[in-house]
Amino acid sequence: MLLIITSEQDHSSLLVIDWLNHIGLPWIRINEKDAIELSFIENDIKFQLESFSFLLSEIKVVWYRRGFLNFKFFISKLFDVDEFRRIELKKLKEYIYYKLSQLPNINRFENADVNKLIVTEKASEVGLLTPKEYLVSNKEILQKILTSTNTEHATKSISGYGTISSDTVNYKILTKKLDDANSTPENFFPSLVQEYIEKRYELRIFYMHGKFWSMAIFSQSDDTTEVDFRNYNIVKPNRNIPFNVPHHIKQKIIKLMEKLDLNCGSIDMIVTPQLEFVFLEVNPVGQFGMVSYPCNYYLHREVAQHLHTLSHGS
Amino acid sequence: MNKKYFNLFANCFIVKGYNRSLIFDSQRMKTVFVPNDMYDIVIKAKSISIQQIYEEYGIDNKEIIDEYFDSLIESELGFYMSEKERDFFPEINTAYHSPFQITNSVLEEMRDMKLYKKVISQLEALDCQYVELVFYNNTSNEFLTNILSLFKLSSIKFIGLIIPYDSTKTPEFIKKICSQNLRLNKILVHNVQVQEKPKNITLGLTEIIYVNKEFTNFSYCGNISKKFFSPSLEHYVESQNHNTCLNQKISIDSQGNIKNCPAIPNNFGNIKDVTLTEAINTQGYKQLWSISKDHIEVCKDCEFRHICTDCRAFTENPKDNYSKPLKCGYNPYTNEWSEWSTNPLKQKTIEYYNIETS
Repeated sequence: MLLIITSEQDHSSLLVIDWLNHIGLPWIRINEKDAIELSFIENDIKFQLESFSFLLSEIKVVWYRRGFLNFKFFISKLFDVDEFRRIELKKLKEYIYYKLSQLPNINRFENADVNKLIVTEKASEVGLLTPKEYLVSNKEILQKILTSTNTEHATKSISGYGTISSDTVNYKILTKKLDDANSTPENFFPSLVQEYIEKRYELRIFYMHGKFWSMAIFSQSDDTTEVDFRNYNIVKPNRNIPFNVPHHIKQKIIKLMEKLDLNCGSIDMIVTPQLEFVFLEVNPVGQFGMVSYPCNYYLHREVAQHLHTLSHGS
Repeated sequence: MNKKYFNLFANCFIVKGYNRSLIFDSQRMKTVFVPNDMYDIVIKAKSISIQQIYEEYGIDNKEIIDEYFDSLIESELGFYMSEKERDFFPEINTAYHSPFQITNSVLEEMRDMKLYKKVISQLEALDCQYVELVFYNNTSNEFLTNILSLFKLSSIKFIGLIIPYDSTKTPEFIKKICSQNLRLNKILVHNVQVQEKPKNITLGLTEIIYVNKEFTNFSYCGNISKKFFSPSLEHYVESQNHNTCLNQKISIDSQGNIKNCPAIPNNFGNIKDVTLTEAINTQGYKQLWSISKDHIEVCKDCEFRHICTDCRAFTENPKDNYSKPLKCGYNPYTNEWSEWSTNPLKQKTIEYYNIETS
């Protein structure tokens, strides 16, 4: 039995399930909002959900797509007891995730939330080119950075988080070119400043257990997408076409994924006009439909087939 | 750049016709006609550099070759690349895969509620995603509401409804069934014989179409026209080795006979006696699924063949599975469109099929 941990709205899960049904691999899907009650039976753990239950021992393979397991917590009236139980539950959760991570899997909850700063350091350790990065919180230092070299700079979020929403407005956090430090206060919230990399095209790479499916995005012909391709241009969409990542870059990416203990993820890179490959980031729970469809890669089928292979212990 | 190469973006496809070629951009859903000479050069450019093309065609032709490539760059259908980049850009793999045994189905004049229940569960067993319910005779609003409610808990994702007009098919009623049945993605109302025909609209995800013509049998279908062209990657990929109308389709006609299409005489048993799964596994059922445009007479010479729809029910030669669709007015040898229904050469066949062409 395959356990899928995901969120209710995730469309990829649905498409992978179509393929799992086709292949005939039985599955259980748990969405983030499904409350789970745990009970411990001798050497096994029972997961009780609203309309069904299963035993940990029935699970042979896990696909951690996104989200988390939502364990029920019973509040007593005693504050101190609740505090204690929360701490206990935290360790219990860790243990459950640990037990699941011992099974063959595509991704694990524990390391799905990567830290961009650490990833960049590790990427350069394995020999991948990365853009020069600075953490800045002071105007003077920012000015120094911006004027010290000829290259341009951009700022992006550290977390990769994309929106700020309030009742009235939504802000999209996109990568933005920095021209000068004029509009910043003396001291400001620590921000990531990155050397701007000129690109011939961007790459979106879906990586799974040593295999690569890559797509090149040609976005330069159009001003709106020059810095961040998420500024979609609907009339003239970017060109998304299949791409073969050269062997020596693949080797480095595999090393990096091993270092990060990730077996699956979406990787962003830039290919410069000099055809250098610059690593930007990896997202273990990123969308892969946007690579799959334009390139006819059938990634949902690939994921389902891989889960099937894992369930047979090879 | 030392050696320059030209590459058509992998999602722009060039299709050679008898007189001219068509480049269709599956990402931007656009088409461009180009001369067949250009087709040859674009194909050559896949394996040799631009310099080598000049040499092959003679330096006198350099100007026209440059013009060809520049115009493709201008319209953003391709790009120049260096020798080093040649290994970077593969073509799109055009294999077609589907997790479903059946993707779409047509139920013709089906009125029996019990039969619906049986058929829905049999369609679910085949993973069917889309069901088209076709009615020629009067359908009461209550009846429609009842049958739509049978799909409420089914795994069928989309429903199309083809119904005759009557005065109770008010915009309010249409709105109501759309909001209650999010699976409805198309409603076509035929025989609209009123002074002011309601406007075609899209309500949420449902497309609503009104037509004057009355449909009395399945011969309303099978029209080939520019407006049905689909320059999408999905269509292109399926069209490589499959019939884009009949692939993974199942139909039950008004008599309960299980067929590829209600208008094709061949039947694979009656729903009273056999299940849909048994029918599709009967020898011959899937034969028409693999008749692609590359196999069809005339179509195989047509530049539109991979963006076009097909019809195997009404063909110019009813005895030949590989004959051109009857209801196509395009001639790829002259590149002219004309009205198919008044073509004198087609009259005998139109009569044979008993198609009304008012």
